[in-house]
Amino acid sequence: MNQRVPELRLEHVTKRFGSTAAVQDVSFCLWPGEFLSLLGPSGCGKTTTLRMIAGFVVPDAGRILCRGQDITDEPPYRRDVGLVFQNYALFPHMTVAENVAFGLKMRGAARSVTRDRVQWALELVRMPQYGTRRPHELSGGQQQRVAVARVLAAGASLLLFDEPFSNLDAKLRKAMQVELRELQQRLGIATIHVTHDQQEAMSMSDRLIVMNSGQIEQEGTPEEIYRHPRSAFVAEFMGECNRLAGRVVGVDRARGMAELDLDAGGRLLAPWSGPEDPPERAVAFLRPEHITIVSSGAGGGQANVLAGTVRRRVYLGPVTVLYVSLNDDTDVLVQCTNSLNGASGYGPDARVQLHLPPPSVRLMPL
Amino acid sequence: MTSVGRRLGAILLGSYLVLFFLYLESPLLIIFLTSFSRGASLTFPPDGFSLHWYARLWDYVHDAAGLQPGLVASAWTSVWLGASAMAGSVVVGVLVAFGLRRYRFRGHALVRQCFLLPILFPQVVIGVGLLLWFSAIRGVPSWLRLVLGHLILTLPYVIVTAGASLDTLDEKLEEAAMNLGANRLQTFWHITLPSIRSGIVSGALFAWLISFANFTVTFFLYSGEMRPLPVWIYENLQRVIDPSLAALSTLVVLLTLVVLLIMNRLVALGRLVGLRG
Repeated sequence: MNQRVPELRLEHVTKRFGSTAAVQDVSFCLWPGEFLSLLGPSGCGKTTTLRMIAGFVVPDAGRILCRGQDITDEPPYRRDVGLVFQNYALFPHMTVAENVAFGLKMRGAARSVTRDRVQWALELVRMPQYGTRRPHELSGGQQQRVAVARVLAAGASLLLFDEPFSNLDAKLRKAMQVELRELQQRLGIATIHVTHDQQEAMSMSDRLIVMNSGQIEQEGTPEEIYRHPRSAFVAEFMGECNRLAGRVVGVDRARGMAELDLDAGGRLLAPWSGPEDPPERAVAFLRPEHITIVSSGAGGGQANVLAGTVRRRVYLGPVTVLYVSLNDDTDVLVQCTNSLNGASGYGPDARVQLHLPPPSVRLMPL
Repeated sequence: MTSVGRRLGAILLGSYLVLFFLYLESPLLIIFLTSFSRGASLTFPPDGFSLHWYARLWDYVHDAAGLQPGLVASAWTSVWLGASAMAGSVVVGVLVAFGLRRYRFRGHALVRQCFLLPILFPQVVIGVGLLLWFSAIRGVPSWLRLVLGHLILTLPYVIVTAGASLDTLDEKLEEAAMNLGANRLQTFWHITLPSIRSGIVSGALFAWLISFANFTVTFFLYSGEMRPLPVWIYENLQRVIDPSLAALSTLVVLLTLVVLLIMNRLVALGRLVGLRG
């Protein structure tokens, strides 16, 4: 990427538990100041990866480098990576200030230094007056702030978040996401965030790594990954996605287009720029918000226009989602933005024609 | 009709509970009542009421004639023996519990059971076994024999209570400590131990009580100069029938209750300040 030294570098890291590979040949870099999310379903290896970075799990193969130094075999207490746990793991028998001072105390810092640093950290998370409280007297959001202050006071040069928002209610979660992201940017501290929530990952991260079955599926900015998923898994994991299977009937190399004869009836033009020809059978992926309703009534025959019947209409405030049945009962989700004048007028049983713009279609092997 | 039936049921249940508790506590109750008897023999029901035997007990404290001398020495022996067994079982028991949690190995369950087994053994067997063993190796001072013997009985209690506390301890707390720069020893000292404090305290008090009250194993290991209280009471009972022994037993039971109360308080207090189990 460039000549800078990454804050953290994983090289071909592998970890097996018994006969299953929890993490398999994972390599990536974390750049200074970057907020990177490891995103994937449970069991995809993201948490094991995080625990290897923190030092609680020793990799079977590969290396972990922190600013160029090999820390693969260092014990957890000799790494300055600050881990914020899902349940915060505040020490219940200590006050907030004692919790925040713990790391400094363990490293034998002078008392005056500790006091100043605890104060600094608590002010960073906007809780300077809570030092004498006990963790169980705090709300979930406050506990999380203390957990962050605790790793910052301990001198972490890199933050690790292990699903830190999953114990908060929806509203507080949003607020904490914004707050932590702002704090992270203000401090310019490189951060790895593990989550299964793609919304959360997209809203917070500079870059995402999507993991599946212990391997990296795709790496990129939220927009790159959302718009250009490289696999069916990524396409479907990153949000609602329609999938339409069909037979490839032609490739136009000059225009970079392939033509698909859909199983549901109708023809679909989709970009194809691969060096090889597309396989005979392929699946077209497209997002509900990229489909438009061109007209009501029957008709069709043109490429990328499919006829269907509205089966269900779900009003969600900013958008309305229509479930449109095609001829073979395949459901296509169509998302319409609700305007000031109200929601889209199509109700159940309405006959509609859908336009699937070719640039929005991602063609992948079946 | 139904309300009458319900009241009848409540009365029946109440009487059943009272009778059941009377049965459970009858040994203590009988000793307790006998200790206030006016008569000169250890009989039930007591004839009349007096504090005579408590006054007499006070005389025995000063080695009055009638009973064997050495009541106070025996009491101190028991207190001291209990404290030693307690200290020993806390140190060893906490380490055992910690090791059993930390390391998973083949035969783990079996090893755990072996540590707890002495609770189930007939104490006569333990006593005889130790007696044979100590006569074989010789030279073990009698105080050490008693402490070692009691340790076998008290250790399981600490292992169980400390182990139960450890089971509820969130491993993430220890990981968090290490993540903040605490090495294993610091983590154990600053996080693990304080988190299981109430388990250790109740195990310790249990250990003291078990040691203080033990007769059977003690009987095989005591010596003339080391005669714990239960043995002293038994030996006197064999020679004379004196209700002041009932008074003494009542006091011992009261002491036990006080310790149990403290234990209850400490554990409840531990919960209150946010400590686990």
